[in-house]
Amino acid sequence: MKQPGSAVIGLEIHVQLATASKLFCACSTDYIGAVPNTNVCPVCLGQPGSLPVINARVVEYAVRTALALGARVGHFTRFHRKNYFYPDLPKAYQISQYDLPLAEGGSLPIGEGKERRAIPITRLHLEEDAGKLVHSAADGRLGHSEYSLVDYNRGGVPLMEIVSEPEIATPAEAREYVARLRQLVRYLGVSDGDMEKGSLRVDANVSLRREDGSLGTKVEVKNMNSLRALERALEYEIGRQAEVIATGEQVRQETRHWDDGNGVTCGMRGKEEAHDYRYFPDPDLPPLILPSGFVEEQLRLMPEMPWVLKERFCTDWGLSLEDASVLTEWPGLARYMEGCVRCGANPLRAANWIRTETLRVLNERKIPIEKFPVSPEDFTALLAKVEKGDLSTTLAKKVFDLMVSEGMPLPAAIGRLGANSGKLEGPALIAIIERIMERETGTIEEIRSGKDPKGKKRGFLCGQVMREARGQADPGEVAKMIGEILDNQ
Amino acid sequence: MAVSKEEVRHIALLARLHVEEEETQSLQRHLNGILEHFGRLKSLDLENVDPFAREDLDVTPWREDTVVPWDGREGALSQAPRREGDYFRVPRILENEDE
Repeated sequence: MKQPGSAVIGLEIHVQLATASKLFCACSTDYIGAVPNTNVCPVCLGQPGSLPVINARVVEYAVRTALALGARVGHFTRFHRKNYFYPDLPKAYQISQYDLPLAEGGSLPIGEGKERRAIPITRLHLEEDAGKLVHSAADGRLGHSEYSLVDYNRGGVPLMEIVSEPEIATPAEAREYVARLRQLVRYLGVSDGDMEKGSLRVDANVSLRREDGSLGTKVEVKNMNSLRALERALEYEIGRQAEVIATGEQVRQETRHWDDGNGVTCGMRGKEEAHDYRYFPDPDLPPLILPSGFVEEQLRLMPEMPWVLKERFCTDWGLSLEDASVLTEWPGLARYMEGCVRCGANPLRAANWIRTETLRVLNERKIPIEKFPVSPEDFTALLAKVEKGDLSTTLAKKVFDLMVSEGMPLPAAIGRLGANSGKLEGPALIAIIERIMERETGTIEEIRSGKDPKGKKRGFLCGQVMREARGQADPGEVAKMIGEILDNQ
Repeated sequence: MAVSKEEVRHIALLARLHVEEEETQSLQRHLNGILEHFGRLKSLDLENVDPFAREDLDVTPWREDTVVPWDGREGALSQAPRREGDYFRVPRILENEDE
């Protein structure tokens, strides 16, 4: 991938950590929908004399993530002040990490089988989030506003920034990298990874290789709020740079914003400011020294990695790669699947039902698997009834719908559908067949006189019996019995 | 390592300070005096001294992840130069930070 014109992409991802309180003070991090400036205190408002104290859970979460990525955790790190003036930053500096980040190195695997490769990670560090600005102009745009309003509820919320090496080659790879990282933070339980809510924000550095294979001018692209937006923005930006180069122009080093509605990246107006952040160690914060045993403890708390789990689903249970990918996308869904198999479910049948039925319900109701009303035990029992032939697939789906919509346990749902007796066979089934045969004498006549070459009319009779039996009979058995009656008389 | 007039102007800009031409000169002298002092510290032999040494610190003090609401919000808002409802109001933000 070193040929001229090929793209080189590096990603900087900010992950909001799912702690209850902020990075350096005890204010709540629950800012979505909160009344402006309610989750604030002298520390996150930057009042003189206030002192920051680091939140232990933030360190736990970040170390856990670093370990999952195989990064080297720094036992001795420190915080710097990154100085710049902007009203969303009340102290006029952001507390961040600079020369000694919490972790360095490591990688994140993407792709499958032979295509699988590890995208190397440069560093992982901690920093605080900024407040939110509301601009006064009618169109909400900064440039047209006479003044702005600031809400500091988000200011000081913990962020973990993960920087990749510029070794991502295509927009699709970038998308997968972000998807895998999002999945990872969800498995680790350190963030909800929601891009639309802004709990996971992606900035991309894009350049094209020059004729001699060296890296071209780097452009930073921001403001991509979904995986699809990320992929589209990168495709657009790579095309734009190729066009600039093709016309003999120079690519400008700048920051560009993705405009999702118009499908373009836009440069910021005016001259790009050369940033001069004047980093220096924050004298209010002592160095961060991890207690002995801390990293080992986090290692002990580490769940199985999603990519390991996916492989296990394939090798242990014979699931297709696609089934395994879908079922391991969310940790809760994977736990549900494992719960079913532990209860004795046939893995292939369970995978099939979860993918078609359970996921349909989750999508329709927009609920996470944690709120799914059918327990793995009941779900497995239902599948077992299908397996044994006690319930037809059609009836089982009706039972399933009742269990979901009414929150009924399995026996109650079966009872409601009048399917209580379980499998219908023997004299009871014969009685139903005889009843149908008496009713459908015309059809029987036609079949006997050879007017059913394709067996459609036989199928119709079977269908009538199955309906009468509320789906509880074995369709194969019904067909056989009807066939015997038709052929013998 | 002396500070030039140019650098004084740049630092003033970063700090959002308006500096008159004649002030530039005195600031330049002032800043150079500070640098000279640190230059003298540099001449000390600190070969075997840990730059982050803190005698009193083995482990970083940290706090549990618990929420403690603050009741001074109204005071903070009302003492701000300008407020609008629940918000702090700030003057027009210039997108282009250069002069």
